[in-house]
Amino acid sequence: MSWKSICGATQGRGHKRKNLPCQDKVAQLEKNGVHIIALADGAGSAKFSHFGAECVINSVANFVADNFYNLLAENNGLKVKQQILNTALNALSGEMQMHGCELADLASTLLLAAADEDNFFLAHIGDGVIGYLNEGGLKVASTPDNGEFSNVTTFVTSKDAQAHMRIYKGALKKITAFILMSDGAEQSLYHKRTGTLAPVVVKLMHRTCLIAGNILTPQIADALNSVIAANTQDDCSLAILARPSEILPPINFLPISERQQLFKITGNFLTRRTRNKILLCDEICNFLKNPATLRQIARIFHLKILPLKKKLQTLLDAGVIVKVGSHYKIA
Amino acid sequence: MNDLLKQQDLVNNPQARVPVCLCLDISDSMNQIVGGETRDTGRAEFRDGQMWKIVEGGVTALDEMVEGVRSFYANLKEDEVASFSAEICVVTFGGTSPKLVMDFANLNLQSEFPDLTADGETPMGEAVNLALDCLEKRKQEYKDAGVDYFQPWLVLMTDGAPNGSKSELERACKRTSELANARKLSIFPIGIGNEADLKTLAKFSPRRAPLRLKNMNFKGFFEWLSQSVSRTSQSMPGEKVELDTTKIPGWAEL
Repeated sequence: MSWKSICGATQGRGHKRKNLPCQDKVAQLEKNGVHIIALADGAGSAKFSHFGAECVINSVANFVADNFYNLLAENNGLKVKQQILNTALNALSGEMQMHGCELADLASTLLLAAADEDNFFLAHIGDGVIGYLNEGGLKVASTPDNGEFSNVTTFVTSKDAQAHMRIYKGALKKITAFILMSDGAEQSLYHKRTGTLAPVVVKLMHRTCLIAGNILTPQIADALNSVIAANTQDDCSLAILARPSEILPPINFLPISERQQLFKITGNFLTRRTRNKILLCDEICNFLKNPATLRQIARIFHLKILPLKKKLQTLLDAGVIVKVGSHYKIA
Repeated sequence: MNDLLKQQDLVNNPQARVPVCLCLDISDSMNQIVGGETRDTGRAEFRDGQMWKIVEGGVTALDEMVEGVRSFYANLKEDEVASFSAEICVVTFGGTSPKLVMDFANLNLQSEFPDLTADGETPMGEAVNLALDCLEKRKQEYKDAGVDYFQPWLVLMTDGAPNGSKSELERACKRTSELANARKLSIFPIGIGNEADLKTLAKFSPRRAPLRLKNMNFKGFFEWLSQSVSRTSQSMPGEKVELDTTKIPGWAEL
């Protein structure tokens, strides 16, 4: 099963008050069969860090996609770190010219996760958290690098960036999802004392697998803005890369209450009427594992075109199915 | 309401703390009258290294300082972020030894700032060492509890010169200097009145020169301090918190 990704960033309350832009930037990329998510948190004191963060994630994500297999094959970790840093710094030198600023004005952190069908690669400079999910549950791959004090961290532009950079690679085995989060989101999703992630992260990973990106993206944006940002002054961002597995199963494996929520069906599922509505959606989703046209679906389920079209639109709005040309299929 | 996330799904990490230690001189000389109406008793006494004329009534330097500290607490409690971030510890030095008057705690859990009585000597070195011990202990408690914290602040206020143990004074100056040079402590040495020994105060603080309080303006100083703590409590990683130096001339002689 293929990887899917989702990401989002929202301006923090502190930045809203000071009328500063959101300095957290996120990116998702699929290239050469490699799926990548990247996140950078621009330094609060650097005036163009929002440009720097954007530049770093785009340049490094493309570099990792183009050189994924070389990076996996390279046994010299220092060389890999230097290649990534050089990529970021070369791209930032262009930004320096464009904005007529110093390198330090573009300071940001960097978090990246890349995976093909069998292997993964992670890179991390600064604060924020990289987590993953496998059969053993939610784990933390890379913890925040904050030094002793709260407002101190390492940036891509720091002199000691290479020494503080952490990289990880390996076979995926049963790893089925990765999450990147900035320190703003970390406040709500990473328990600092125990070094563990909030269990709700699994739900976010699962939804990444089940719901179409165009529907889930605004939901993630709203969750960041209305829930996570309420717990910090800082910008908040996260990026998730996930693929279906036994741990993140298809919709029909979920409890009926969760399926009802996903299908956006109201009413009590204990009543026959509501239960039947849910079961019909189950069957449609099961059928749409292979793409089908409106008429093909109508024929199979013995439904008239108009009510079926309405039902399919509900499922499209819920993001559990997508329409590609004249064909519907599961998201 | 968001379908994906609810507040109860999130972990509860405590807000990053700004530990502030006030190290305050309450030696006998802080009984000096700085305002208000007084009546001469005709008596004179030798105390805290000087001869003093004894009067009744008036407002003492200690009264002004206590009022300033209370306004500091009040200002921080009014700030949405600082009220949860700032933690204040108060060490006084008078008599023959320093005293921990208020230990670090969340502002809303601390009791009211008590009335202080000025008497005795100026064991400044001992007091700074006690303040640093309290800071170290609190930092360890933060670490054990997974609480993030900002660089601690130490405010040292005196109207005179130290007359406690010399070795304790040297040890205190060495400790604060090493911490300040390693950027692990922000120290603010403040002289009260013309008798304050700024040369000794400077030995505690290699990176920031001592300032002399202007016209006993404790209120102005503590207002500036609360605003600075408030700004620090809202700072984010990579953000260098610049102190508002434009307001310093309002309370200090530069």
